[in-house]
Amino acid sequence: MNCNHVRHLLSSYIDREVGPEDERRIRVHLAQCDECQAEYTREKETKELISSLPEMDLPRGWWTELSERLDEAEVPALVQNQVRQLARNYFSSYRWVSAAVAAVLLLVFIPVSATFRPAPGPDLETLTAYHGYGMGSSINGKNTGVYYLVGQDGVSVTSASLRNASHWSDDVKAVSSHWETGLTTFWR
Amino acid sequence: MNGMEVGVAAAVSLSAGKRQLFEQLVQKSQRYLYNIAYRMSGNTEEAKDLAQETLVRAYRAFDRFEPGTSFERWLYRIMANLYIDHVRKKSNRPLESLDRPYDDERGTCREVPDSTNDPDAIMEHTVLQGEIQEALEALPASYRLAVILCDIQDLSYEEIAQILSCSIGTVRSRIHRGRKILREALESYGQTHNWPQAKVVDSDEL
Repeated sequence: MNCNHVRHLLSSYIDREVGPEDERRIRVHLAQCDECQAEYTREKETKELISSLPEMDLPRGWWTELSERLDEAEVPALVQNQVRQLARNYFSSYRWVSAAVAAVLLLVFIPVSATFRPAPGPDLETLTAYHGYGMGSSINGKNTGVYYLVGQDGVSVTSASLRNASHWSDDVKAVSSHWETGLTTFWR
Repeated sequence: MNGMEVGVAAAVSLSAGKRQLFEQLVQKSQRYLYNIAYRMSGNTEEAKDLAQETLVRAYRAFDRFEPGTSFERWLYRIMANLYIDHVRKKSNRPLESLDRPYDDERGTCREVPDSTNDPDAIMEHTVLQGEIQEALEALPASYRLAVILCDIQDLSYEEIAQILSCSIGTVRSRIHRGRKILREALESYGQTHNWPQAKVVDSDEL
């Protein structure tokens, strides 16, 4: 095995990622070649330097922040379906079913929620596209800041975060201010 | 209880179980994940964002996780894809733009594990860690990922190939080239620590 070949395999050799025959031939070569031995030492020290970097602690507030992000990720799958179902039921003749579902959501999953009809307006493209009914969501009593709007067809659903609320109407913002009051229904 | 209530209750209970299981797995893996993200990005905020976005994506796709396989490696794979996408989106700018230069925040948050009371030794240690991190950040993203997974996470080439969705030969080449660049970047350290000097032979030309 010549120097070029050995040097090409040095990283793999150091990582123990060469076959037994190559390993033996490299070992024999290194014992005879000072230059490749020096190269081996430098490469091994480089690996050791990288490995020596300390393990970092998780930053402060890591778990709280992660939980919030998981809450947000969790909302769409469950709540969108439930909101859609609520709207569908509301438009059907079985309004009591809708109320029962809302009660379950209220007790178990969504301690605070609101149903509202947003006001139409020239700057409310999202809202006017979904000018049916919607609800906000919160988990463990904490407002997620995410609203789900259901089209009047009772099927289409969109969501938007209040964090990007500059285009939301005052009505919607008013709803958000009632988050802590419990299940609130807004009719216009 | 009518059908609708049962449906909602079941969905809620399923979700709670899923979340609990996910969080249990995350508790065991999050520190490794964060450390890879930190070594990739070099600063706390970016690392936190990358690692948490990885976990959010993993949670959304949790139904597709196969029990019995390695959760950590599954997370690493998601993070690798996320990071490479991030790099591609910023490809109009040089890759280095992802790797923020030294800032005060990074300097102050760096851990100094050496408990010696010798201020010179502490300073040297801290400076060296900074140099190593800086050298890592100067690597192309794909080399950096391979080197970090190999040298810090101690994964085999085969495992790295699975995470990065490439061949073992590609991993071999990335680690080889990555280390070569690192070695040159850390040359000043080598000179002060008597690294043996070798005649340069360009093994990439094989």
